[in-house]
Amino acid sequence: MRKEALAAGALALGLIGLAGCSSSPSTTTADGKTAMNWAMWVGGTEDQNAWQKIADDTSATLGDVKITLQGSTFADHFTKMSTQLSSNTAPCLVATQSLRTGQLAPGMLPLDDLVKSNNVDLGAFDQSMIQGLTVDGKLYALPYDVGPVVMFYNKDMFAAAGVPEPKSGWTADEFLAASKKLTSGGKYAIAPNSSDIFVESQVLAYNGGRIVKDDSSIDASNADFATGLQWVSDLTNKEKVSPQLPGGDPSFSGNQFLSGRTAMSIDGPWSVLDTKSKAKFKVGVTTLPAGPGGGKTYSAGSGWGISKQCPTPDKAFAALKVMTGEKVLGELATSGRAFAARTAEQSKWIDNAGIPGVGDALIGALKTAIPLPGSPNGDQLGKLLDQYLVKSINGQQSASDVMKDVASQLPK
Amino acid sequence: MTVPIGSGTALLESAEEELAHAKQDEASRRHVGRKTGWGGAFAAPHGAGLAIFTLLPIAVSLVISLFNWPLLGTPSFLGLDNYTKILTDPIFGQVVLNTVLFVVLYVPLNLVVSLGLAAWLTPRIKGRHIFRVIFFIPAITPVVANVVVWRLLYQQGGLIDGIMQTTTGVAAPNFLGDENWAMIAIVVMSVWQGFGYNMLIFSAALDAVPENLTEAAQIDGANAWTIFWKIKLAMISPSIFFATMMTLITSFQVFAQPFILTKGGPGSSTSTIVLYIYNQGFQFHQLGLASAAAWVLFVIILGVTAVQFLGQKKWVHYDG
Repeated sequence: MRKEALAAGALALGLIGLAGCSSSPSTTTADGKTAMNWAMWVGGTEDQNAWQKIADDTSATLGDVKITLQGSTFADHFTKMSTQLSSNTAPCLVATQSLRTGQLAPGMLPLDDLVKSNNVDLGAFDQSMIQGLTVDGKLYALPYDVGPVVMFYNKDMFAAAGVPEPKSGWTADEFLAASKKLTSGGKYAIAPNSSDIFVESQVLAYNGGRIVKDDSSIDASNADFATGLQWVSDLTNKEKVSPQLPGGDPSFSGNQFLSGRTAMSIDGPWSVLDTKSKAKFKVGVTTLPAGPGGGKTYSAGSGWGISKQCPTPDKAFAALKVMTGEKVLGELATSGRAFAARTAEQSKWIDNAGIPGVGDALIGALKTAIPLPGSPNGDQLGKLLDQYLVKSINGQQSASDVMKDVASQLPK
Repeated sequence: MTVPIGSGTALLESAEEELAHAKQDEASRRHVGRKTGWGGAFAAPHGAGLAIFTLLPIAVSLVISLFNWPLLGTPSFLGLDNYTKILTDPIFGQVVLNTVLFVVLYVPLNLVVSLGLAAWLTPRIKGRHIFRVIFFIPAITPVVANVVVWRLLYQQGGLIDGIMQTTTGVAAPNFLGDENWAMIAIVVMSVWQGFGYNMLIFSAALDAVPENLTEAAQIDGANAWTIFWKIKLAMISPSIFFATMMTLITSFQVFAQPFILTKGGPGSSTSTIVLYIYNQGFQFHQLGLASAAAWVLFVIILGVTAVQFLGQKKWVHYDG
């Protein structure tokens, strides 16, 4: 009986042991190279191929490492990373976005010492992105792209409505006048967009209202922001140049633009080429309309850093140097995958875009762009804006009251 | 004292029999013991799985609910503060009310629709098996796919809006963007998604009602309506009880529909308890608060289930 009980116990432990062994990570490949995973968001087959090429090229350049791409969707990436960073299962190389670096920073390795010891020239990168990926004075990632928020427009709809195409630096009054001419026959000038960076940029350009301060603290009940948000909301419920917002659909604005139902869409350069390839009309790019006290825009971008759990941070940084080097970022710019964070490579993206005026719009926007600071509560703010702005934009509640509701749910 | 020889022999035989029985019992016990040992061996992996993947997480969740436990960072002990916080949080109150509203609207609708269709799908209906399959398809289709399709139906310019504009000239409400409509939209979509499962249960139960009962009732002059209410419903009451219980429990856990359709909005009008738990845990990184909310949900479901069990004596008939 005792033997049988022992057999039962051994069988159970054996099975558990087998299950445990199967998930234990290996840091060395069979041919002696250092193995490391790279967590990156993947939007589709083209993304997958582009990132895989970077992983393969970097492995080949360094010779002694083998980088394996670990993909997930953008929406899932940050939840997955937070979980992995907190449970000792994080990969060595971690993709992060400037807005969300604050929330991942506790699990990531500050790169400042490695930057110094490896003589990386941070001056070659767009400085707004270096700031965007810095939390509490420490740099957590090297940037690969940068994007000032801009306005896409449908050139064909502007021509059909007899409205001159907007020029960089156009004003909110000019925008509203054009919008009224563009709205007819079930088509609207622009669809509302409740995504954090887009609506915050729209308000910043209108009157300079901000809810995320430079020190990353959040002031959701800021009076100027509420005034700007009311102007955005009035485009729907007062001026009627914008359709109502359906609940919780961050892709609504882009989809309405692509399907030709709206003439304009607020977006970033990371979407320009994808939009151009899918649109059945000519796409133009200009700055956001500037109101009194506004005129600026936010910039955001992404980069790659190293998790604290990485057993080989030196080799991981060597990989980062290659992945954010001139060659790789030049190729990403040339293929249109990223408006490069290295300023010297940005002209390649502009040349490839093939959109007249896009260079002026982007460089012009970058001149006035300020990085949207990341915050430890940035994700929470983003979710609340998606959830609550519907009420303001659809005219069910004033912008001021909506933002007070949002503020009441954020940590004081 | 004299002992008859015959009785002494009988005693001896009796002792021998007892000894033989004892040996048999011992052998039997050993046999059973061997069986139990191997049974235990085969049950051990499952037992270990249950302990590691069910019981341990439950215990850990209870512990975490007593801490300020950020997803990234150092936990600190709070005692019952997380419970105090969520129970005094107006948003959590709203979330509980939303969940109760969903349950109150969804469960009766689900039961009426599934029972109605099951009653309609009698053996006299031609192609009843095909109808059963068609009605069951939404229940086994991934809920995410269903929700995405319903979002296209609900949105302005979508199918419902298009039909209304064509037939009445009036635009449909902004179902998902209006807080007065959003919960109703979620309930309707959920009923469509979920009635097939209960319909199959009711349909099978109705098929199992003995024909002699209905025939006897017919001979006594009962009409179809009376037979359904007085006999069939009573006969399938255990199935109705089971379906009600399971539907109640799952509807308290509603998540995917508001998560994809409305993100809990407009405002907090469609936030449910599980969505709150998900947001607190994996979006706002407050695992302690999320665990406390999960335990509150557990207690609510436990209470509702207990009330159901207490009430079943009055209307569930197991004796046929």
